[in-house]
Amino acid sequence: MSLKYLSDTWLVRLRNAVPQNAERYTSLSSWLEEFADGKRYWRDTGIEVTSLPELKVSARPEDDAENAILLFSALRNLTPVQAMEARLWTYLTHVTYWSYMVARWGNVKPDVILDRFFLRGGGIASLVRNGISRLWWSGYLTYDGNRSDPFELTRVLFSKQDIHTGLLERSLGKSPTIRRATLEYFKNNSQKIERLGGWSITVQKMMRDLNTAGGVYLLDALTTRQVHDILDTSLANLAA
Amino acid sequence: MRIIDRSLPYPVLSPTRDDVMPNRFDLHCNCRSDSQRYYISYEFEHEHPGLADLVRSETAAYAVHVEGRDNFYRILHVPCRPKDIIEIEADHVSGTVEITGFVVARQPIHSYTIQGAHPDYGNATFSIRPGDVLAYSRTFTFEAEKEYDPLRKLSSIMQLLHDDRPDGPFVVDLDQEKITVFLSKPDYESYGHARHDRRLASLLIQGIVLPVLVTAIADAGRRLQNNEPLPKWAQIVRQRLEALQMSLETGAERGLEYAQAILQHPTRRFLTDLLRVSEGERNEPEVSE
Repeated sequence: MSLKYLSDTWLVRLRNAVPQNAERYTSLSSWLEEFADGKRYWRDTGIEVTSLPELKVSARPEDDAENAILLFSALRNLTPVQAMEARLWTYLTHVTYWSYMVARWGNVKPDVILDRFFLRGGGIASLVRNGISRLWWSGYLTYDGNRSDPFELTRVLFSKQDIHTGLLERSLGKSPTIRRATLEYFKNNSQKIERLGGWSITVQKMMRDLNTAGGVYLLDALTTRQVHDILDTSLANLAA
Repeated sequence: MRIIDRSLPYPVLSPTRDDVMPNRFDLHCNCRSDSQRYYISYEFEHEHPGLADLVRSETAAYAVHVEGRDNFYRILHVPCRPKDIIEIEADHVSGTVEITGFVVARQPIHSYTIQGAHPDYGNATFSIRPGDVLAYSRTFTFEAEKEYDPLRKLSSIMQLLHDDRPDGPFVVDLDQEKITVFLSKPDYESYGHARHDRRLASLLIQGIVLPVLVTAIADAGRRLQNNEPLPKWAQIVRQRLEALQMSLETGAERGLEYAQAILQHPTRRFLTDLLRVSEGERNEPEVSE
């Protein structure tokens, strides 16, 4: 089967109609056909995929990780430039994965709808907030073929929502070196962080400290050990 | 990479700072592309013998940082030659790509001093750790766009679509990520034929793009004056104007001038093409029935 995407015209129409359609974003069945009123709203990408996986509906972190692994594996041939396409992800959220989207992210607030069903505002934050593209990008950014489990870091990324947000919505999460080193650190120090009481505050503080260190160091030039030293210092300060 | 100017605890050579004088540290870049890759030719230029010595001894290294502004592409090339070509897969980046040159420490330097340091530093020496930045250049940017389109240079900020109207003037929506121009259906069909003809590019630009861009720049200028958030297209326009030493803040008053600057003064191309079309018509043999 060929992957489909929304035409430019229908992407704009759909996005502009969010305030009027807000109530429909909790509807169990997809209404895009009806909205398009028989007109052709999609195009073929020409990208062939065997099939698209069924995604598990839950808010459990481990299910997010499994969904990311499934989706990225099915769409591994997608290039990063293709995976930045609002038209592709908006088609998938409104058609192919409508049931998953409504169950996981269904909402009547226009801001939430724009965040989760569209790519809102462009930039990296939009790619990791859209309900489907976040799964693909998380898989793409954490896949490591040199590990016995290539998706080990994908599972760490989704183990806490704060890690996902703190790392991938910041510019420093774009650096492969920092991303890998930070996820390894969280994996190896989860008990220490648990003992401090709150993942949320701890992760936020540690990511802030890492970001601040970027004002002095060229973080991308650091070794894994050096990144871990910065995070060690941050964690020690929190514990003090 | 947007470098936030911080007061670092040691002197750093950069054209944006006066820590070290003369503060000449440039990365000259040139970008070309084919269907597969972008090729960035770069060359470091500075006249600091101390830094050159640190690089020669591998205590420090030249580094080139390449980052997509709105995507996840971010790679540090280190160590780098002073002059070389970096290749980027075309399907890995799109939009604005930022390239910055650095000299970074590779080894600890226990008593670092640098010739030409600001007198405020006195005789102080500094402890430098691997990864510390010793010099950085201004950031060079290029637009990664592969698709051929007569409006190619504008495809990251403007799109032409049709609506269902059977007739009527084009309308503009400035609240989308891109400036969105809606043509009536028949006009869009004509545009569809014209857009693939390179000879008509200047006519399309003069007839549609120029007036739309004037309106858009004026609108963005007003948004800026009112402290309203800028849509993505306006942020790109702002950067392009800054590269031309122009400020979007005065866009409301100077939209016509700015739009022509962004489009690299399209009127001459338009008039030249118009004359060519006119000459072509005059030279065509008359057809007798």
